[in-house]
Amino acid sequence: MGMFGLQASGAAASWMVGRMGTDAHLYDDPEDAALPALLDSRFDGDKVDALKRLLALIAQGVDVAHLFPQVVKNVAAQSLEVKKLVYLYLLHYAEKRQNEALLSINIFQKDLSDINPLVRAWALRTMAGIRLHVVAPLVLVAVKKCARDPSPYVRKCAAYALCKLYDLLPEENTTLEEVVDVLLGDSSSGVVGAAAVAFNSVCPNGLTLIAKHFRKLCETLPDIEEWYQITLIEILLRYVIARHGLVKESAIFASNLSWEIQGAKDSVPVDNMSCIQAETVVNGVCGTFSSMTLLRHYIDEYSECFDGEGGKIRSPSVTTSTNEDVAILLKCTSPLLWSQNSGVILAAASVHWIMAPVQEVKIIVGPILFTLRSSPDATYVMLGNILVFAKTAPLLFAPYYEDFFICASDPYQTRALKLAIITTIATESSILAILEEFQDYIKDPNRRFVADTVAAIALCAEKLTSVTSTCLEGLLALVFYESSIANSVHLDGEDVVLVQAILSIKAIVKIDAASHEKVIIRLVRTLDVIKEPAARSLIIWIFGEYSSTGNLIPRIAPAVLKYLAWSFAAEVLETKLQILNTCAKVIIHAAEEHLQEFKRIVAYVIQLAACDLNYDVRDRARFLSGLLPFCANENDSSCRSQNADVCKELADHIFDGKIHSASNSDSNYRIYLPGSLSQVVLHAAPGYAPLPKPQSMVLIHKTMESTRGVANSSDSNNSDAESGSSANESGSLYDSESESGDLSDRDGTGSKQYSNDDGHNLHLQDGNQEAPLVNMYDGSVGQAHAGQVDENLASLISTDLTELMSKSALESWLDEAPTTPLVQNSIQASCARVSFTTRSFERKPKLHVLLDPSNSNGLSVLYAFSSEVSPNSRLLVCIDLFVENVTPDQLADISIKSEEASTSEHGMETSEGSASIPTPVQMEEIQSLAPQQTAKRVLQVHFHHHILPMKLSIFCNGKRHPAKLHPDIAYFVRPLPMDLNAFLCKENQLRGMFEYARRCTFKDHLQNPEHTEESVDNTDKNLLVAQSLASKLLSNANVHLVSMDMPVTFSIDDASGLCWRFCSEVLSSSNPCLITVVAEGHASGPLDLTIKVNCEDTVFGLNLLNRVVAIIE
Amino acid sequence: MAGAVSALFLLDIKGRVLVWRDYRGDVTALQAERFFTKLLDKEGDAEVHSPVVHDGAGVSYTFIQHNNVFLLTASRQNCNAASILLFLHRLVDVFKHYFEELEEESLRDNFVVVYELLDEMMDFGYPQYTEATILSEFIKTDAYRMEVTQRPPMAVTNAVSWRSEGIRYKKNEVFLDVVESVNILVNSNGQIVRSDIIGALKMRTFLSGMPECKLGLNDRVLLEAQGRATKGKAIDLDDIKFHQCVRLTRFENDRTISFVPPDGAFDLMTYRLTTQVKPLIWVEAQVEKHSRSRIEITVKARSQYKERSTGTNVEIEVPVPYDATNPNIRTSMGSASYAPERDAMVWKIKSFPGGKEYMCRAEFSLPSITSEEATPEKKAPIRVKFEIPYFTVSGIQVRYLKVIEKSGYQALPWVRYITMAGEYELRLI
Repeated sequence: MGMFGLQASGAAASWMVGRMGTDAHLYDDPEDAALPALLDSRFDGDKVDALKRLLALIAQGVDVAHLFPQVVKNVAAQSLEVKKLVYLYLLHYAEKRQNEALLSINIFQKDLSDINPLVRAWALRTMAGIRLHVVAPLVLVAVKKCARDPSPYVRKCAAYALCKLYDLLPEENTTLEEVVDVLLGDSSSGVVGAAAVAFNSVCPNGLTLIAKHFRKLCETLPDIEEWYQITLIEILLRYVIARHGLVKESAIFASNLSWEIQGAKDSVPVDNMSCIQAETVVNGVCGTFSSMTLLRHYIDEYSECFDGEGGKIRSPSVTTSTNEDVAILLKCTSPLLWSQNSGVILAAASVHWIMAPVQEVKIIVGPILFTLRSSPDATYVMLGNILVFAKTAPLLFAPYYEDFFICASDPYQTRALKLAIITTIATESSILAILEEFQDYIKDPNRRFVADTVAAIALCAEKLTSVTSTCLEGLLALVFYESSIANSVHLDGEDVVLVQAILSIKAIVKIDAASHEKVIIRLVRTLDVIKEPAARSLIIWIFGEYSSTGNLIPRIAPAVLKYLAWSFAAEVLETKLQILNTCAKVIIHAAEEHLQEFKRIVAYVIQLAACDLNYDVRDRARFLSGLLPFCANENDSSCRSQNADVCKELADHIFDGKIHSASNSDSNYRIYLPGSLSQVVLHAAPGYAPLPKPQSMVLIHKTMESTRGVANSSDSNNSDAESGSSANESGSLYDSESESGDLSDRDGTGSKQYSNDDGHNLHLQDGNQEAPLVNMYDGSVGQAHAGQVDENLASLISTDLTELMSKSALESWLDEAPTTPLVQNSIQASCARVSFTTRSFERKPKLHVLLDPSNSNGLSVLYAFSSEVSPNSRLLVCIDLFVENVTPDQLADISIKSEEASTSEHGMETSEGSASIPTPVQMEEIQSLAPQQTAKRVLQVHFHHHILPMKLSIFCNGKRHPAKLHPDIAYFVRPLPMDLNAFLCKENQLRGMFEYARRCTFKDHLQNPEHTEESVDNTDKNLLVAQSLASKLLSNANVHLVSMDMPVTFSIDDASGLCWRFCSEVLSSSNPCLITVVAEGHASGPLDLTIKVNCEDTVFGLNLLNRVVAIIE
Repeated sequence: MAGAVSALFLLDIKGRVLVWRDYRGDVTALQAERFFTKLLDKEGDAEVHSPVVHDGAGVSYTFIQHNNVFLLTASRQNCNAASILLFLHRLVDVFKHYFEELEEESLRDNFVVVYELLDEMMDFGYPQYTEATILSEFIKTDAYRMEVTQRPPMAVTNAVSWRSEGIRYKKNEVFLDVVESVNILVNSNGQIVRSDIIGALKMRTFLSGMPECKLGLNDRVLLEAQGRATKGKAIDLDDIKFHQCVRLTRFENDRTISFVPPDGAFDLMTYRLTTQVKPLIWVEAQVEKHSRSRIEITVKARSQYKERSTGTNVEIEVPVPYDATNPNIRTSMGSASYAPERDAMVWKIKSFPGGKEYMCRAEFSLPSITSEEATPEKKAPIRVKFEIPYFTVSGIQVRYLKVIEKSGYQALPWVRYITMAGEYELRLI
């Protein structure tokens, strides 16, 4: 369309003259100028030039971060162009140069109140985009302000800033959610669209938020921008499902039920698989997800829908299409099927696909087929989605099979997909046209595609019995034809079609071999012509498999077998092996009349094979002669009589094994929601979320209503109908984090209950090696690991037993499995808050002297409190002892005993009687210690909260040395991982009499200035202070660092506001013990700290507080 | 759940990064470049690749190629694949609007503008403004940059996001081109196995203010609804796609196509008709192998449209054996030449009036080594390209195009029709 194209661009071209950039010289020689000088220039033109060069360098992968300070200065420039370019630079490097980036914050703050909305929006976008945790709180303030900006452009930027903020401040989600709520109610459709995107990032599961906006969102849907339409459609769909459930009349739901009635997992024809059910069941069964957590969550979610009664969906989770919200959703999405954007069409189509009544689903077909006419790459994506639709509901697309006919211009990927679709939707009425079309494909120059077509023919023939014989004839003709070509032309990969043709015949014949015996015979006859080893092997296999089938094949069997014996020596390895197998099969199934003849031939073949050059062949021969003794050695009758039966049976099993239908690939076929990237790459990409559990939302509404007092008439109607799971449960289904939180809570409470009394019992049992009970524990542990402990099962077993089981499970888990993920979680949470907690703090425990060598003839004993938790009991504190021999002589028989309590072997037993005396558990004796040698031992002591020194006797070479061990209350606790929210929540509960505070000063950071000096440029002083205090406390107390908050200030020195939070759990009572440290003053001088301990055990809390002060000072 | 794109790359033909924009900081340029160059090396040809690839390490790449530039997105999240591809195509459109053609050179020349565009078209990995006309309101190139005080596009503050207020033209004109492309597939038995017409209403508006436009077509559904006589003139629009400006709910209610048009060029609607059409140009070829070393091809081309129409720029591509040499070609009209790179003979006819038939004879030498009957019978189809101005196969007609603006100016609508070949393949050889 030459003439038209020219005119189309003509009008625009007139004002585009001069638009063509001339920046190429900057791109090609970016370092052609003195960049720092230009950046410091007074002229905006120079600055722009320099900034453009910097951009060019960034584009080319050169690191120009060193110019950061000079660039940042220019953020204050008046010129919008300079500003914009600086912003682009900032966005790229801010993360690496955090401290300098902070310098720009003031300017951003100023720009946020600029009169030009463009400036306000850019400032907000950049500020949120530089991803600095320290700035995040400021951005939050800015976002809240900008969400109410008069300019929709700025409000839109605020919505995007929410997404960025959520990455930085996930713990602020409630605040963020409120802003999302505000934006969703915005009057501008552009803002609403962006708000939908923000919703998806910030609170994708907070579908309750949608409830009040639902109608309005539906009405706005056609007006908002296409990209947002996709997001919003998905949200609305999820909302309606969560709120009202699936539609009873929908295609999905209908096929779901029918599928469930069919039952067995393997025998399901692919065609009947439906999208949703495939997600829930097929994936659940095969479990090849890359992300196991997702899978577990997935199954959890659906296990409730598919409950005991034959896996049928519980009826309450279903609604009808007459439901008002469902109807509105369908109505507002149907015009979008006319969108230009194929993403929108697919999103709208999937709503109808999932929610529309069966008879109305077909409106999506036309628009979907139309999208195939867009770009070739989009076609590929659309075809992938169509394949899923077609596999679920082949009849939907069956009339349009011509649309999937292949053009010469289609790339291979597209062709393969089209073939798959055609095969899926072929029906008795269309198959003839399709086969005719396939005949053209077979002449295609692309051999791989021809082979695919041949495979597709077999699939059609298997499915539609009316064409089976036609297909077989065609395939046989193809075999003859291809074999003649293959013999004359020798090109690489030429045999792929031939092999595939035989494979296809094999697949068709398999269904009913007896009726196709003539085909088999004709195929076997081609052995004379076909030379391709792979093809020969296949035919030989087919012959072996069906040698006794039908009437005709057995008659030709002797001749074929003779032929094979004759050709054996000339065959290649794989064919030889196949001949040997076939011999075995023939002889097993041989009729009496031929048996003697067969035996002779087979014996001959085996003899040949036994002398073969290849050891695999010889091996096979030996194996067969063992298995079929009558063939190999006819003289050895004794062997025959004894083992014949066994051998016969073995041979039957080996060679007569029924072929397992290889439909694994089908059941492994993973299906994701239409339109998702995951569906294209067949891989659950992060952020992929399955549909919510049907009607899971109602109860959340209930709680919302009760707490917030929001009255919604239609809500209450529905919530009445719902019964069953508790609000807590349905809430957790939405949010994996909250779920794991729940779990940990449960564990926590469990441990609290059992630790005091039952802990002792358990340890006793451990000590006595009570075998039966241990077995019980194992069982329960295994079960619990497999998923949630089955409550039904638990209730069946007598209460006593379940109690034991759960106790044991908890006890054995507490130190292993569950804690690890929890620790990880909390680290993630804290590092999200303050990035530098990722630097793991080294715990450098302090060594104390227990025994000075000068007092003890050269035996030195040092001790340090260990953060390890005793494997025996949670009440024991572990102390690492470092025993060193500083004498030149050997020391022997070193042991340690408590002076006060008579330490017994059983440790805990005696402690029952004398509860208040610190008692060490008997420690392993050191038999002998060579000179200069050090031995490490772990002493476990039950301190009973005694903080007075514990008197110990150390025996060495038969001599007693008295020693004192100073208990450290900071180790009477153990780390209790929790996230900041949980911490703050707990802190609120432990106010008043449970709270103690003291002030002290911290000077440690001033003592090692040489350490600070070297990195003063790059590292924040506050950061150093924060680190030094945190590591000091972590080295001296067994606590968990929950968070470190850095102050946001413009004075680098100002450390006021630095705040650390630590959390621990008292060993004896399992009561949480929270430590908060807040700093005041300057990082360069001594800091005033306020230390606060919140703990239910008041005395312990006070003591701990004093100890913490002592540690810090 | 529509996830976000992590980064967007513009790469040269070898897969090296020209320009890139990091949106989320979780995929590096090096990582993407390494993966993509490996992909290109391995396959040699990007054509054979699916446009969406997963690297096995959690990053999915989506790409398209335009001239000597690859446009590639990397994503760690689950995105909407179809929409990302579309976004990349829109990106191409925007770049073309800005620098006329998108190729490596124009990217170098305009890399700063490219950065600005990338910043505005996507935020945090989510697509934003993709209409070139809107973008050019606040992203100016050098010539304009300093003169205008920059403001956010008016469009953003309007009810319609695709048009700004305050547009002025001395002469208010609308150009409407109805472009239909015929897709046809004829199998080796001469049967039409598939045919459809894809039509596009391409509009260029030069209208002042905020005009309300209303388009009337000879749409059967509409005419019947209005109770008008439909004497074979009406057509059935099977599938339709509208530009965002068309009020879809209005169309759903009463089949009225009403809209506030964007300024400049855009596709108002595209439609698809699946009614079977007679192939407009029928091509048959006969192949004779005279000996082991010589092949003779006779091609007959017949125009099957009315005599008053004339096809232009007709191009007929006839496949020949890959080892053919020494072409000797004669035609009764136009010129034909051997294109060894396509394994085909290309016959070009500048002007092809309706109801005519032309011939072309060609002779090629073949290497005599291969035996005659054993040559594998592999066939590519005959492909045809053509344009027929002032003609639509579907018979679609623009009945009226009303422009109503509150200032009450008269706008001149210009309508033209053209039909061209789309996927036009005849397996008749």
